[in-house]
Amino acid sequence: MRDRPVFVRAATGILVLVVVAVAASPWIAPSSPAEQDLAARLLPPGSAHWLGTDHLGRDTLSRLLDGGRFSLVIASLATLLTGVIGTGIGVLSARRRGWLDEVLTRTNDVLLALPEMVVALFLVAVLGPGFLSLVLALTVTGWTPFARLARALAYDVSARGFVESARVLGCSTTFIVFRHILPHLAGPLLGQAALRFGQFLITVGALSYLGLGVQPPQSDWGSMLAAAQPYAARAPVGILAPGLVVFTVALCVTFLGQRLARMSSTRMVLNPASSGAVADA
Amino acid sequence: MPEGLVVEHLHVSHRAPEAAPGSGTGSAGGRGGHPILSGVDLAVAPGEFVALVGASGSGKTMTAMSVLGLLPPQVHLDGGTIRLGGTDLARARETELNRVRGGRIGMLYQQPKRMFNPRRTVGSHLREPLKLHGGLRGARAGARALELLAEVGFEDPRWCARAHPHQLSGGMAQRAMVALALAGRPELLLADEPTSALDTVLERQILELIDRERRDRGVGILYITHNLATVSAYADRVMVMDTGHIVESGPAGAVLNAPQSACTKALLDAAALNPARTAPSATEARPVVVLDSITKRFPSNGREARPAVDQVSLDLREGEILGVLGQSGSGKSTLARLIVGLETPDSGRITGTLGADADGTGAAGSHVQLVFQDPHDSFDPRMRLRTSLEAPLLRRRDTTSEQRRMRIHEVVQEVGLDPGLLDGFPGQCSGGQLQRLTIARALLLEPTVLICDEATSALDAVTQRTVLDLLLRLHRNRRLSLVMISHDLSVIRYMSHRVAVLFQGRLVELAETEDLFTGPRHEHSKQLVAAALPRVCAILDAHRLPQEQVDALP
Amino acid sequence: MMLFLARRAATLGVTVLLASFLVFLIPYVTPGDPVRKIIRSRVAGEVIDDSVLQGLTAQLGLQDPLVVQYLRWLGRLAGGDMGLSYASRTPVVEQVVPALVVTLSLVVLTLGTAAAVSVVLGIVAALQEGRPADRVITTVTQAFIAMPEYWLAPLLVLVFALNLSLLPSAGWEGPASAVLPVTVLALRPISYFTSAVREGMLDALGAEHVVAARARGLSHFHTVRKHVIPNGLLPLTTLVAVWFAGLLGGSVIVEVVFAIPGMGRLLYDAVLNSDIPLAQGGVVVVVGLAVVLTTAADLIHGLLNPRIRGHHA
Repeated sequence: MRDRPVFVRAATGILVLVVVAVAASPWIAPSSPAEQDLAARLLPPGSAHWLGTDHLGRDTLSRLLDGGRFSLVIASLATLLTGVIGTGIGVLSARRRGWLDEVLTRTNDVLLALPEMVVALFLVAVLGPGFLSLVLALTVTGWTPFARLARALAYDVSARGFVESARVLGCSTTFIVFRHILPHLAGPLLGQAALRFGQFLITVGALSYLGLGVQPPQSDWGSMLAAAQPYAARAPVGILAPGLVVFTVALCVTFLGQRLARMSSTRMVLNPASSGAVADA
Repeated sequence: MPEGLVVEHLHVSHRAPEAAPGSGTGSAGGRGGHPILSGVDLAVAPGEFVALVGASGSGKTMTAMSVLGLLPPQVHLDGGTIRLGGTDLARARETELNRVRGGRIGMLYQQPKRMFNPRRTVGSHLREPLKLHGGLRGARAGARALELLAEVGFEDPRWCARAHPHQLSGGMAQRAMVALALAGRPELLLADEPTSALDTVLERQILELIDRERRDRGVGILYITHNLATVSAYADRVMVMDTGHIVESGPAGAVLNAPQSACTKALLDAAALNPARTAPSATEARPVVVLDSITKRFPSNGREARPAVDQVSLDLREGEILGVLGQSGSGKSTLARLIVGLETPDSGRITGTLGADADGTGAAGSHVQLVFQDPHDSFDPRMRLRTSLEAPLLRRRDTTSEQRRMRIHEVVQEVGLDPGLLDGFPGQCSGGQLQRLTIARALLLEPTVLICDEATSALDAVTQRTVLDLLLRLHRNRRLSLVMISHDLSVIRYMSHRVAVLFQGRLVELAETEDLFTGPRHEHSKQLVAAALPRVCAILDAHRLPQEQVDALP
Repeated sequence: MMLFLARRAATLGVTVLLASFLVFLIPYVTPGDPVRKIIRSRVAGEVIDDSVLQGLTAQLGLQDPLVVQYLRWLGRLAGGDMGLSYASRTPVVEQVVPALVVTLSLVVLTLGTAAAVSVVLGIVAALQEGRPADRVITTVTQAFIAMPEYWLAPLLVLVFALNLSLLPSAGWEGPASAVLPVTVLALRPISYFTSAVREGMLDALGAEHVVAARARGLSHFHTVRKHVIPNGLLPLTTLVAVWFAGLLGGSVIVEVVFAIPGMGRLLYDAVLNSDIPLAQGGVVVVVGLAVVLTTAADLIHGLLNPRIRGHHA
């Protein structure tokens, strides 16, 4: 059930829709996200405002589309940065071994023990809230899962006969890393990247919700939720909508990531050796 | 007196989960199922040793699992009877079967270590059948467990009872498994390739242990194996199985002397690698690789580790086939890895005297190449074979892609393959084809030395023979020096001019092949040669035929 | 095993020192005059004029090299002296200790709930692999990962506290007030735990030694009880310890939403008010505990695994 292509298509479709809508928000949004109309405060969903208005009479749908940019860009940037850094460090660790591997692995252990949220609070306290401290906060601890995965996989692949053969045959290290090792890592790492993107999206929202992320007048999904909370009883759509978007997007990427990770791991398990050696004529 | 095990017209098939379950009373093969066993008949009388022989995938293991009523899900018993001393196991209830399993029938496996729960001690495993089938608990069960462990030859049964499975060696684990199988005082032992993963010394010991039970207690033995030579000295009767059918059966002597089916002949051929050549080694030939007192030790969790390779000095002469013989863990593979430079020695020097690229750290360089044991693992499953073969040539910038293509086709044809294969992926080839391709890939670099690390051990016996003959041809045509690393005495004897015997990382004997096999000097070599079960042809005359037991069957 | 322990201990020490040094640096890297900031955390008086400043700087040794100041700071920390909070003008330690107690009880409740729920769900899912029960459990628990706490928490408050008036909407008094925060906080661990239990159980069920146990005459039920469940639940133990560390600092959102006076709330307030001594104290305690717990998780893993444990003989 979880693996039906229908679900994959639905998840992909939703993601594409959200990304396109957010990217095109200046042109497709029904009104300006900052335009206040104090006469039309906390309206329920209706024909003029599809998702109602907030406590300053701003159109919720327009703010949702506008706010998505911040959340999605930071989460994507953090995923890309941590993915590249983590994979690089992981593969380096596995290839070089020795003291470098030891140092990198210990660093990884140390960072893994630090609670992500506390590190973020710490960095925001030091650097002040904003775009840079958010990306930094996510990156400082965020590369560790990639490095662990990449190191473990690269270690395994390096011990496989075809990599050792390539070494004996005199293939260059570049060839071994880029043609043999990285292709075998791509599937699981992409899966991991999707999972991490979902988590980054949630964390960005959390920091903004706490007022430590995006600063007014700019807003994102987390800060919209925080702003709507005092009026939750009168206008529940204000907290329902942004949370639902975060949840849906995170759910879709998580689902796709898990599928990707599972697919690539079964492909790795499917060793042709188990399919039975046939005597040749 | 019970009649022993009698299986008649056993039909078993595999059904994909989509195929409707429940309609499982159909005849042979079942409806839409893929037949695994088709009408198997066999009988094991008390005190009889029956060998069930066949290639992998012929249905041997499924026969054993049917007897125990433990077929995997999706595999169904479609028909036939399985009787053990009057009980119909095919129709018995689960509670009845639970009394039979481990009680009246003991089971042995190919991989004993995996058959123990890794988190429990051997003693705790033994107490299970003692309680279930013998009603023993507490101290009495503990005492009986120690007795059993002593019976199967543990000098320190107390240590073994407290040990976790990972602390046991392969041979010890199999002994412990025998103790476990005997705990319920079975009348029948099902032994599923229990010695295939062991070297010849341990194989002999385990077989003796099993045979002792047969002699002393009249236990019937159904011994499943793919290796005719192994059991020829013990079996009363041999049954040969091929794709779910019994293709031949009869007294061991008859089957081995006058095989009827093609399958039996192929198995016999494979078992008999007759030493074909007795060409003396060319003592005057110059050495191509010289090992000077090399030692390699691997760090192991804080413990003082015995070196994997301990002060080995050895030279390989030009145009020679050097056999390296040793049990698992003797340092054979480490030696190979040291020579090609995959590992660096802690001390000592390896010199390659031919290539200009030889230096003190290893003879690595294109003139020494290595063929690994597992051909499937030697190719990147995601890379086309052509790319895999071309990769090492890319570093030589003086060739065009058309020249490389020609070279590859030439060499692939030389190893007896169709170049059309190259456009496929490794998963589409058989083990034998892939091993030929690894040889071809090595030859592309024009090596003078080829090291084969158990290169044919993962292949079935028939393919093994063809690959060995290919290596001999290459040796002759290209004046290639070969290092044949193996635990298999027949392979070593078939191929080598000289043999180096490794034991616990040390070189204990280096001799001309025939000298070693006729008059081994070192204690360990003697043991190895003595334990090698007599060749099929040799034992046929001496084979005991307890015909009266066979005739005693109803 | 001894080597393993020594290595772990060394990592632990280095981590704590490194983290504490970073924390010590906070007054120097944040905007403003570090000397004034430090003096403010050590002297109860509100207004400090320049003459007093000179004397205090000398008295507190603030012109000494950084390393000396760090060691002095570390010494005071070891003695439980974390300075004075800017906001409350009371010793930081008096705020940190009660907050820690609150957070610890919140985390213990959460992990207990999560582990209990996950063991049941994971075992059921594994035994029913591929059937509807497994699909429902797996799909629903996996969706928990994507659930933002800052969304679920206000929604639950809206429904159960404001509309139905069943449970208190905030605070930390009595069992009723714990229901909503524990529910919100437990979802993500449940998601990971259930999947770990399910995978562990499937591995254990598929192990060859399980067939061997059946072949010795053990019934299916006994095999599952004696050989499958104990092996299958093993991965959970390490995971719980790891999550213990993670939740200590990861309960910020829940503590803020439900106004629970725990460590998360304390850190959040400290950052909002730029209360440097309070932030320092909070971070040191949370990170120190997290590092110790992560190390403990490794040790548990080692102790429960006969393969690793055997090495110290």
